[in-house]
Amino acid sequence: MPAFLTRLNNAAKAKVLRVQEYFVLAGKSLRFIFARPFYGQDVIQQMDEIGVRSLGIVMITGLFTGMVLALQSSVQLKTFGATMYIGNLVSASMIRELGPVLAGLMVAGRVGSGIAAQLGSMRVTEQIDALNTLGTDPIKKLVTPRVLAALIMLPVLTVINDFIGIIGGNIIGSFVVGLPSTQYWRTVWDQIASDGFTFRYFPNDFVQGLSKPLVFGAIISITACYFGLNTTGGTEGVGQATTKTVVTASILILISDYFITQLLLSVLTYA
Amino acid sequence: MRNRRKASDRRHFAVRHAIRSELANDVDASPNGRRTATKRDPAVPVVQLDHVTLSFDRPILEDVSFFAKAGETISIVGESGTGKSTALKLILRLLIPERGRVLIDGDDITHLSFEEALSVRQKMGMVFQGAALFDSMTVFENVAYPLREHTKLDDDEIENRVREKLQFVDLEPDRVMEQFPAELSGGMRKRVGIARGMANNPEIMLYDEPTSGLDPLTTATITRLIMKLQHELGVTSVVVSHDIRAVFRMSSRVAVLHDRRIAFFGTPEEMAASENAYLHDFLGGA
Repeated sequence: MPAFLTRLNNAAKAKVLRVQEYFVLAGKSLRFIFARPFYGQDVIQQMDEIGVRSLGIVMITGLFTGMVLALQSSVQLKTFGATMYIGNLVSASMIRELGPVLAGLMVAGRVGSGIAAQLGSMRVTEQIDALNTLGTDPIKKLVTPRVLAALIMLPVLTVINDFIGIIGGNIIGSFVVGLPSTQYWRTVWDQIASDGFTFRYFPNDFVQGLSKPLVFGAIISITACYFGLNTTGGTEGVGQATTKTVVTASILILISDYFITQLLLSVLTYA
Repeated sequence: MRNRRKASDRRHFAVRHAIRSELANDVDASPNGRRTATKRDPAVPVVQLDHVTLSFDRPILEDVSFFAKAGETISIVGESGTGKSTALKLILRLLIPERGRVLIDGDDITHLSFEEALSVRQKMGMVFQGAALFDSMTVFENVAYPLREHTKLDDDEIENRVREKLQFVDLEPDRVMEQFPAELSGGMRKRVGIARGMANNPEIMLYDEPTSGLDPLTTATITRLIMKLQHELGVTSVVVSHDIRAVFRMSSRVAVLHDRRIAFFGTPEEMAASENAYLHDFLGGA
């Protein structure tokens, strides 16, 4: 085989191996959620780190996204004399798409990079090896609590993000467009109800809005842990791991968002 | 065939491990908590590398054999990059050899599953080159970590054990217990690393460059602690070091790695008397 084909073959094998390792890590970390020992204290600590401490940036993102959505849509809707539909537009955009995606991207930037840097530092200072030698599985101790915390906290952050975004729309509706708050909130509910329900009572918009952050939470935490645990090359390697985490997690969030939407639109029955 | 042999090895290991655990249960109740109740054939080495070969992108170790009997301290020396730390990782079963066997208490650990390897590692304590203390935990939490993970000791017993181990390594528990690793000097970090390594009363202690980067006085303190562990507690130790003077002081036997192979394995006296040209150069340069 020519040398360049051998190199190509080896490079392709290395890439496939990395993808395989990523999914093995994902599988193990999810399986260990149900396996002893349970590190409950670590899960709570990570829920604080991933959820509570991300609240500020997620709320700011939600508020200004909702406000700018209302502002932009008011300009377009004014042309048709339909500014009373701002609530429909803001709520549909926030709950279905912008809430989950923006919360995911914010958490990927803040928490993903933090997890990668922390685990990367632990790798280069031999703390991961120390865990192994002390008879602890690093995936159980370090990865599973982070994945579980992200799976719990991402949907919570998304709901808050959605709500604050809709309030942002209300602020613009009331103070800039002159739309009464009661009418704004009625159109918000009309929008949610008009898209149909799953199991009779659960709005389809909420199914979309809450299933996405679950997947995004898994993507962010597993990607960060994967790059963190595989850090090589000292402090420079830690920097590279954080960059790779934010870039990869953000891209995976945007790609998976499309496929989840496609899947849910074909599964859920919209009115 | 190979898979069947692996499965039978695992069953064999599981049975022996269960018997040993039963024996060790009497032990933790003994006054000093040492695992001395395990009946051991003195002829069987506690740690043994048997014709081990390992390579990554390039060959690292070729046909390497050495052993440590109960209560002995053996040192592995050699130039940088000759695979000394790799040998420790093989003993810990963090790496698996391509050929050859690694035996702990006469049991081949080469084909163990990940979970079985974790339980074998509980017999060992490891002191890392940079101490590898968990920097998000205090000194107390670091030393208590293996006790919380693998024993059912209550909080008072854990605190007593942590104090005992810190005192053993000449640290004042009340002064250091609540400090974080970043607040300690290099020598203190190494000593906390030793205290953490010995917290679970392991049968085997492994040291990776325990004296590197330390001043001569702290080096002497660490060397004395390793000897104290051997003499007072009968722990079997494997030390990777560049410090030939310390190696000669504390070792029962020395393994010299050169060009991926064992160039010499014998007592420090035999090493000093050897006519081997490489050993001559190595000791002359040390």
